[in-house]
Parts: sequence; structure tokens; C-alpha cells
Amino acid sequence: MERLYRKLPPDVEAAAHNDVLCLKCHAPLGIHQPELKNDAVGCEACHGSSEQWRTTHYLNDWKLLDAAGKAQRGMCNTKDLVGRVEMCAKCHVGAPGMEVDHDLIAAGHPRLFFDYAAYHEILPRHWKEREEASFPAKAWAVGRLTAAHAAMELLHHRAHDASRWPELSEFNCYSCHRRLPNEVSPPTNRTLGALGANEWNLALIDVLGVDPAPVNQALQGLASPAPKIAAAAGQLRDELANKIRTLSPQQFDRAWAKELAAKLMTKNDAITDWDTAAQHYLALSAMDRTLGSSKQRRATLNSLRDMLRFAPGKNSPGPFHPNQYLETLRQLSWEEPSARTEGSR
Amino acid sequence: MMDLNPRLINDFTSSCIFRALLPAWLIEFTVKARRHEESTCKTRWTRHWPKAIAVVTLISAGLAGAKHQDSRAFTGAPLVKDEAVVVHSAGRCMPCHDRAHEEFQNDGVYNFILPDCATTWKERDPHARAAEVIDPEKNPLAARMSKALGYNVKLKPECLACHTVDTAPTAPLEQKQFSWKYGVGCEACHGTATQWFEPHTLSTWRTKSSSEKEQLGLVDLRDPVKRAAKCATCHIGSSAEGKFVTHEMYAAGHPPLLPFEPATFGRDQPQHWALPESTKYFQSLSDDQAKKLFHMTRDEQFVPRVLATGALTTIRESARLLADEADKLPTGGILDFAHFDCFACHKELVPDSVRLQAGYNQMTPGRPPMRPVPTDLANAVLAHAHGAGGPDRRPELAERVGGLRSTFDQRPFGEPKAVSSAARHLQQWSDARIQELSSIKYDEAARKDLLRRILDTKPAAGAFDYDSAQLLAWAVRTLGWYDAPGPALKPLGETVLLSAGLAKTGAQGVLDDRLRKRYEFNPKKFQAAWNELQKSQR
Repeated sequence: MERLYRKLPPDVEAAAHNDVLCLKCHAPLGIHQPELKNDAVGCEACHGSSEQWRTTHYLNDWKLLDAAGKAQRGMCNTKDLVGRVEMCAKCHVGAPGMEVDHDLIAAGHPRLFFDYAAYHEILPRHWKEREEASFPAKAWAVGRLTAAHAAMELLHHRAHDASRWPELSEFNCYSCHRRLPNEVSPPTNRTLGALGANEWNLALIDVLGVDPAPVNQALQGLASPAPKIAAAAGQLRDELANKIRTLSPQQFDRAWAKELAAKLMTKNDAITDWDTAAQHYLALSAMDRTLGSSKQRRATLNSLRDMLRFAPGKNSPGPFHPNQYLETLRQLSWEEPSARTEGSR
Repeated sequence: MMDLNPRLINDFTSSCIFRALLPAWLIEFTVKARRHEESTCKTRWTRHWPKAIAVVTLISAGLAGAKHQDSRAFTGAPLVKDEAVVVHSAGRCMPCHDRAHEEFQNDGVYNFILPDCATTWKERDPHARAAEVIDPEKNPLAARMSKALGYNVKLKPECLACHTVDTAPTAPLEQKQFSWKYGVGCEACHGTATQWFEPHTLSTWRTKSSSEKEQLGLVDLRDPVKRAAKCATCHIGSSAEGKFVTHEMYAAGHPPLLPFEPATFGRDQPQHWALPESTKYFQSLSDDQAKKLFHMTRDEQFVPRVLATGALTTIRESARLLADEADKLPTGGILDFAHFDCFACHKELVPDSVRLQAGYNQMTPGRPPMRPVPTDLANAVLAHAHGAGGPDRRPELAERVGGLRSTFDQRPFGEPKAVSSAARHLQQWSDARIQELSSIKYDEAARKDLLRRILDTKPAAGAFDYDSAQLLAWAVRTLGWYDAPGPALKPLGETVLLSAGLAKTGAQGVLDDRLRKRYEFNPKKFQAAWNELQKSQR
């Protein structure tokens, strides 16, 4: 990957482990302290540089400090969900100067598929989360908004740089990367034969009260010149920042999850391709975890998930039929299990 | 006689716009005119002249109006021909050229043309059906494309320019007039006959030089370079003539254009023309006359010359198209995706793919590469020219194509100004090489040597790509033509095509067939067949 990305001649040794771009995400502390490269994404990558708290954070006095006090000494506040997701997003979505662009993907780096709620679910816990029942819903909502914010910051930056625009990773991977002829009609929101927007990070944020349409429309088929795309991204980024600032975590409770689940059942128009369907599934899944799953619901969710799986040996979905997804979706029921069935289980 | 194309009129008279725009008597009149068009309406036409002129005027006005209302749905070109265009599309060619006539026989006409050329063309040549394939009522693919594109492809100048006779090739698209009754009819290649139709029937015609004939609009198809360039306007594309298969058209279902090799296309086309060397007329000429009229001497062969010049003409025309299209772009514009390598993007993604393993040849990964310029065949031609005493031009070709390729790497989708300048260089360079080839004698010895050099070809970039493989296999088969039905090359050429998956795949329809061929192309399999062929010829 390093050889291809850096266009190295055959006689030069490829050393990704010395490449700052790689280290930024894969071993951030190793950039300045080579002996820490083996830590990879070690403790300090997320918890912050420990120079000022390594020898004190286990003392009683430390407990008396509030988050700001700890931050002052270099410890990141991972207990704050927004702050935490922002930290994840730096690598998992990307940020100016530390990004997985199309050149890197073409050299062999996997594309990025960040969804905080799902990642949280599969990450082996090394911490005690004070998780209330509605945590998955909250993680989903905060995760989506925060990732979208990071994505818009990055898009804003990319569209400003004429020498590398259009940056292809901002466009839908599978509108090009599929076998021809097209067995599935292209989404109706897409210009024929043109690039579609990569909607992974913006899909469904409208249900959280932020409209991604201006950015999607500007990207669609490269309809707008780069400065306009940058402006649209900047505006959406600010809107998202504002939304995140005014969030009240309490709003994402069980009732909200129930309401969102019902809303997701009617979002047919939003499911236009693999990316939007996958995001839709992840949202359903988070609501399912919030509301308490049932066997039947899990079975339907599993069949939706199976539809989204890439075939063995493939890194792209092949022909994906949104209609089949929607058909199976109709079988999904959010009815609360009655007391009796609950008891019999 | 005024020629109203029945189908176009039919469509137009059924359209609401037409009905809304014209008074009832005119509608009735035009429909009547259509019904009688192909029969004996000559006298009726004369009688109705004043009305007919009114129809023409009003239809044109109606179309202009229609364009304003919905340019996407109905950007119909002017459908009715001006009286000045008398011949278009074979209608008037047929009576003389569709069968042998005794008086022609006596006049020696068949010493240089085939007696049934028009019949061969009309009944067996796919060009004659080129218009039919864009009729949504006759071809489901045309219906699918029309639906996807949002316009009727059989009325769209961009489509008609290649699928019919464009009576004014250099006119802007909106001013073009088409005749599509006979598809890509006689005048599409031989040139608009308005000025040469009458004189070419006279005995004095044969004494005219090719440049005199060209001045009247007859294309000198005996000149292999002009011939290939003419084919290339459609088979590669031409900005000047408004012929360009855009990515939007491909996305709607236009089959990928095949790599173009003029000698093979000429061979595979049911021939309605004779090889010069096989005609009595050519053999009766002096060498000077032969060179002047046919661009070759009497001991030369036509096909090797077409193949050799064709290999460079196709590069020249591809480069010209690219440069012209790049020049049209506004600042910050992006080249149409049709200029890029289709299958660099259009593939399913797999981990550790062949492409990743092969590397990007010092290009930035992730930047769509240009549509490949296959150079293997041209290199064989240049190697032969070098062997015939000229300088070795192969390194120059590699350098120029490499230079052009790198302009696509400067930023995603290339830097149009740099693309244009590099493509223009390649165009001019190819043109100069084509001139050089004119001094080479393509006789039997040259054909054999050229064939040997083609067979000696090793892939420039490690492995043959589809286009190069297809061109090489075709070239072997076509140059082997002269040996058929003897033992040697024709069957072998066929074997390569078959065993390397370059022959027809059996897929339903031309779109699927061409795509499948590309996807299923296996460089290793081709290399094995190619090695086998090389060995057998040693």
C-alpha cells in the first residue's frame, strides 16, 4: 500500500511504519516517540498525553478534579459522548491532514464505514459505561451528528483544494465500482452517468433535524463548482455544530427511540442504495437494542443485515436491490412483546 | 423530388406539439404526404408545392417552439429536407448500383466497382440497420436508452449524427439535417452527393482527379488514411462533426465502442467494394496513375497499407477527439467520463485485486486513468517502417503516450489544459508518421514482414490489455487474408480470437456481449494462445 501510495520505485523499501500519514491514525504517539510505535492506538491516543497526569491520576486528589481540570492536565474527557465521538471520528471519518482519500483507498486501504453506536457495540469494553437502557439510541444520535460534523469539516477542506478536487471518496463508491451492465436501476436521485454523493455520513441525519440535501445536491453529478460545494459543506458543518451544542442527552430516551423506530419504517425514499440502506439498518439495530429485542424482530433484522453483506471475497455489494430490502423491512414489527409472551420466554 | 422521411414525419405528425401548432388542414396535408411519399406522388407533389413549402416553414417553426418548451424531450433536428439535398441515403443510388446493368458492363464500369455493391450494403451490411437500432419501437435497447436519457434517441441529433446520414457533417448539431431511411447510407461515407451526383454519372467523371472529386464533396475512400479517418468519426468520435458517445449515453446502455482497426472492420464488413489490386481498372493503370488515384503502386496490396496507416490514424483521431473535447471545457471543467478507462472503475472490488498486485506504474492510485491508447499494433507498424530504412519511432510513441497519460494524473480527472496540449502533440506526431508511411511500399514481402513483426509483439506493460489483444488478433487474422484459403494464418488468427475469449460470447445482445468479452478477458489465456501462434509461425 505504501509503495503504491507513495509511488516508490522498486529498489526503495516501503516503510509505512515511518510514514507520518499512517502513524497519525495507526500509532499517533509513535510520530514523536518512535519507541511507542508498538503501542499502536495505545491508551494515550484516546485518553490524551499522560505527561502531566501519569503519576497523579491514581491519587485521591485526582478524583476531586472536574473534567476541565483533568483536560487542563492533558486528559481527554472520554466520558462526554460528543467529545468521545469527536476523537473516534478524527481517524474513523478523517480530518484535514489525516484522511483516507481515494488515492489511499486505491492503494489498498479499506474505505471508512464509521457508525459510533455500532462500533461501541462491538468494541470489547475496557471501561465501565454507566449505560442507561436508552444508551444505544443516544449513541446513535450523537454518533451520527458528530460523524456528520467531522465529515463536513473534511469536505469543506477538500473542496477548497483545487489541486485534488474532485476527491473521489466524497462520492458514492458503488455508483462506479460495480460490474456492468447495471442490473439495478440507478437511484432516482442520481444524474445518469454521473457521480453520486457518498451519503454514508449524512444518511438519515434529517431525522435528527438537520437537512443534508444542499450538500448532497451540490455533490450529485459534480453539479456545483468546488467553491459552492465547500460553502455548502461549511454551512452544514456549522448547522451540525450548533445542533450538537444544543443537544440535551436526555431527549434520546426510550420514547424517542420508539418514535424514531416508527419513523424509520416509513423512510422508503431515503433507501436508495447500499450505503443508505446500511445506515438505515444500523439505525434500526440501535433502536432495537434500546427497546429490548424480540426473537422475531432480531430474525428480521438479521435478514436485512444478510442482504447488506458483501459476498465472500468481495469488497463491494454487487447488485443491491433497495426494493427487496424494503420488502423485508415490512415484516419488521415494533410491537411491544405482551406480558404473557415475555413471561413464557 | 422532395423527400419527406415517412418515419420521422409519422412521429412528428402524431406528436401533440405538432397538432397544437398547425392548423388542421396542414396536419391532414402532411399526413397525406407521408402516405404517398414512397409511391407515385411525384405529380401530386408538384401540384402541392406551395402548400409543401408552407409545411416546411411551419414545421421548422413548430420545432423551434417545441425546443423551447422541452428541449430534452424533443430536440428534433429539422426533419424535412430542403430541395437542394437530392440524393441522400441511397434512394437515388439504388437504381444503378443494386444490380448489374448491361450498359455498365459494356462501359467497363464493373472494371472498378462491384455490380451489386448497393445490394450487398443494403441487405448484409450492419450500417444499413444503424438507424433501425436506435428506433425504440424496434429495439428494446433503444427504448431503454430513451427512457433513461429522457429523450427519443431516434430524434436526437447527437444520436442521428452516427446512426444515419448526416447531410451536413460540419454544421452545428442544431442545424443538422438527417436522413435515416437507409441507416448509415452511401453518403455517410462517400460524402454528401448534392454536387457530385450528376457529374459522377458522366463518362468524364473517370478523368477527374481525386482532389477535383473531393472539391465536389466525394470523399476519397481510396486513400487509406482518409478512409480510416472517415470511419473514425463514428467509431472513435469527432468533435467537429458532433459525434461523441458520452458517458451519459453509455450509462443509458450504449454498447462500448469496439477498439477500432480499419483493415479488419473493412474485411468483416460484407464488402461492397473491391480491393484495388483485384480490379481490371487498377491493373490497367500506369504506376504513376495508380499512385495518384489509389495511393499505391500496382505491386502493392491495399489491406496491409490500410492496416499500417490505420494503426496510426486511429491514434491520431483518438488524440484529436481528446484535445478537441478538452479545449471545449470551461475553467475548472472535467472531461467527459467517456475519455477514461471504463474498467478501471467499473468492476467489483476485491481484496488484493489483480490491479493492486500489478501496481499503478508510478501513477497515483485512485485517479481515473485515461482510456488506454493501444500502442502495440502501432509499434509493430513502426518497427516494420524502421526495418524499411526509416528511423525507429517507437520510443517517441511511448514517450508521447506516456506524457499524455501523466496529464491524467496531475489531479483527479486530469488537468484539461495539459491533456489538450499533450493530446495535440500526439495528434501531430501521429500525422507526421502517417506521412512517412506513404513512402513505404506495402507489397507481399512487406505484408509478410509486417505480419512477422506483429507476431513478435510482446506486451509493453507486462500483460496485454483487452484492446491491444483484440487489435493484435484481428491484425493477424486480417493480414492472413492473403494466405487464405491456404494453410497458414487465417485459421490461426481465428484460433487466437476463440481461445482467448475474443470472439462472440453468445451473450444476449450486443451490449452484454461486448461487456462480457471485456470482463472475461484473461491476459494469461490470451498470452498462451499468442505464444502458441508465435511458435507455429517460426
